[in-house]
This record gives sequence, C-alpha cells and structure tokens, in this order.
Amino acid sequence: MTDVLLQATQVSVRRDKRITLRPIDFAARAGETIGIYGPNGAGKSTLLLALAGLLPLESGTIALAGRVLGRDLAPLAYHRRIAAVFQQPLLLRGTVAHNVELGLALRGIERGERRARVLPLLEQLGIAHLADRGAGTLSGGEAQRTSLARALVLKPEVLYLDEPFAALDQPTRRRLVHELADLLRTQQIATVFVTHELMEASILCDRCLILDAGAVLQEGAPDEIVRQPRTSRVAEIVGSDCIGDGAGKSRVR
Amino acid sequence: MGVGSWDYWAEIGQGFIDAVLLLVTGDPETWGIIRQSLYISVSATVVSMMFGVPAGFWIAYSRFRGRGLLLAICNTGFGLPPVVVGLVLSILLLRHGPLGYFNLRFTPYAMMVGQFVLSMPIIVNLTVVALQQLDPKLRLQIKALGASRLQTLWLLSREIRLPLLVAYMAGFGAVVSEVGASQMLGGNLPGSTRVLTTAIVMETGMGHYDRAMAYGIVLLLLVAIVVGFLTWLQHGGARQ
Repeated sequence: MTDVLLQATQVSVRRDKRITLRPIDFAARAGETIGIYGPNGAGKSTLLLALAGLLPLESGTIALAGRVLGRDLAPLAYHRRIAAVFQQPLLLRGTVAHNVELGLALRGIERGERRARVLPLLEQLGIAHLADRGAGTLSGGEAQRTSLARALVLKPEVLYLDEPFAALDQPTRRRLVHELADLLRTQQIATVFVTHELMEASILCDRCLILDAGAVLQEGAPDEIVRQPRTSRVAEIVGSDCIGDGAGKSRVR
Repeated sequence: MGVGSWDYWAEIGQGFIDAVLLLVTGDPETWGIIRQSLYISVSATVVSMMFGVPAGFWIAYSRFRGRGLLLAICNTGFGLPPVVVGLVLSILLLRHGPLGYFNLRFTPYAMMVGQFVLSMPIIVNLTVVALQQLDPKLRLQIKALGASRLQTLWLLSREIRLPLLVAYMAGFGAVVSEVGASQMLGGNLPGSTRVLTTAIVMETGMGHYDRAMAYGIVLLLLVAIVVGFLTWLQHGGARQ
C-alpha cells in the first residue's frame, strides 16, 4: 500500500458563525480518486475548498506528503502543488492558450517551455484548434475543457474538482467524464471529486464519501455504497432501494 | 447695459472670439494654466490609484472589524465637501501644524494632496464595487493556480481594468473641476498654483470674460472627453 499523500485530520469549517463542516478525517493516496457525494448544502464544496487550502479552518490540519499546511508548508507552496477546477470555468481575459499557460507563467516558467507543455494537453482534450480564440467566445464545454487543461498542465499532486461538469449538457458531460477518467488513469494524481451525479462518481472514483449536513455518513467504493447503504439516510441520498448492514446482507424495503 | 442690449451681446461675443483666439494662437499664459491644471490633477489621481486600488482590494477581500464603517466612509467620500478638505488640510499645513515642516502651503504639492484626498474615496469605492461584481470563486481559482498575493492583485486588476479606468476618470473629473480646496491650498499663484478653475473665478471677478471663457471652454472639453469616454465604455465600446 502506498503512503498517504493528502491527509486531513479533524478538519472543521465555520462560516458566518455556523459550523458548516463537522470535524472530518480524510486521506488520499497518489493516483487515487475520491468522490464526495451528497445532497445540496451538505458541505461538499466547503470540504473541497477547505482541503484545497482556500478556506480558513475552524480546527484541524491538512498535510501534503507529511508536511502540515501553514506549519511547515506555506500556503503558496501548497497551492503550487495542487490544482482546482470549479463548476464555472472561471477563465481570465485572453486566449485559450494564455489561460492554460497561466499557472506555468505564475511559476516563472519561460514562454517557450510553456508552449511546449501546453500543446500536447490541448490536443488530448481536443481544443488545440481553439488555442488562439478568446476565452469569452467559447461554448460551455470548450471553456470547461480549457479549465481542465489549465489544471492538468501543472501536473498537480492533488487535483480538486468541484462539480466540473454540472453546468454542461448531458452528451458533453458524458464525453468529458470518460476523457477525464482516461487522463487520470495515466497520470498519478490524487483527485478529490465533488459531484451530485452518482454515475460520474462510479466512473471516476475509487472511493466515495457520503456527506450530509457537514458530516460523513459512509465511506467506500461507490457501487458498494449503493448496494449496501448503512443507514436509511444514505439510501435516500444515493437513491437505492435497499438498506444493508454493511456485512453483505441487505433487505428490500 | 440692459439685458438684451446690442452692446452687451457684442461684448460677450467678442469675448468668446477672443477666448478661441487665445486657445488657437497658443497664448503662453492660457496654455501654462492648462498645463498646470493637468499636471496637478493627473499627478494627484495617479497617486490616488496607486493607493486606492490596493486599498479597495483590501476592503473587498478581508474581513475585519470596522470594514462596514470604512465602506460607509468611502461612500461618504463621494460627497466630501472640497472646502472642508481645504480647511482641514490648510490647518494641518500651517507653519506650526503637524505637516507644517514640509512647507507645502501655496505650492502645487499642497493642491495635489488636497486632490488626492478628494479622489481617493471615489477610486476606493469604485474598485470595491468592481471586485464585488466578479465571481467570488475567481479569486480562489487564481489562488489555486499558485498565484502569490501580488500576482493575484495583478490578475484581478486585469479582470477589472475597464471599471478601474472608469474609477480613474471619475476621480480625475471630480478633482480637475474642483475649485474650493484648490483655491485654499494653492492660492492661485500665477505660474504655479493657478489652475483652470481658480483662474476662471479670478478672471470673472476681474471682468476679463475672454480669458475666463477660454478656461471655461477647456474645462468643459476636458470634462466632455471624460464623460464621453465613460459613456463609450458603458455602451460596450470596449467589449472584447
């Protein structure tokens, strides 16, 4: 078993004086994709932002490869080892190429080398022909591909995906999920994937966390959770008809 | 000279012609005042931008006690009475006052300080408003891309560059046409602190309507350029 790459210990978040995330433990290994699944308002995005070091923590620690964020790992250094893609593409002014190069430019990488790194990824994601198009002229799917390319070109150790496909139409969505699954399989990136689509979770994720009201209800392989939800609430969230005791026995409601 | 009498209109008309002549023939005194006006107001507003934009970021993105109060002060800044700013700064700049050491009173620098104070709240406020219109996640996305604080400031400024231009123009338009503080702090000294607005006041008082009108035309043109440019921006002239 490989070592844990990302380790969150008793992480909780308070927003506007209200606890939105109860203390949660979380661990991910290199190359592992972990889904965070739950209803609206469960705290999925909050957990993702907290893990990505983008929200102040109420308690707990986050460690990357054994180094604790804010203690022996500076936030900037941490952010230069991760990448994030949100539901909105959040592209900046400029061309597709400019956007995809941005993270590399921020790290002080020369223009020539940036181009060389960006091109293959644009081709992989099928947006090479858009390289010189303005970001404002793209369709939703093209923009989200650009956003994905911008994250993946950084070769992050941890990739955070916050419902990256939620704003896309069904066919585009299905295609991108499969393309992303292929990309993640070839690169050894630990991925945290927030979604409210069980289909996406089962395609992409090795493991899944069921989150409700800021707490983890169940953890396991996606199809295992569907087959054997531990409580009726989990069954309700994943939409399965049976509740199991987690030991293989299940009964039909 | 009664209202509507021939003499009256003839004199005003002659004044207007003389004003245009002063401008087109490049009269050194007239153009000296125009230059000084631009020099003082542009300097003051550029410095205002240098401090006001980062201050706007700070107010928009940090959470601290008194943030609401600070925002309210900036909103009040739109209606800050120039004569009160002139009064307060005059007192501070008195020879034995806290800022008396710098000996700035009745210099262009004193006017710059006054115009800086007057334009700052406008620029801070419009920066905050511009940032509040952005997707709040954009800042997080930029951070997650590995941007340092300074890089984040730069990238977000690029995103709001049009609103920032509007902020600059609004600040400039306000101070270039302001007379109270400029008069009190500068003193309307020829060749130094005499600017368009203070010159108009003086020349009108002395009955030199041709000169007053010449300055008035320039001031109107300046403001018209600013307003026209802002309107052009708002109607998507810079949609890219």
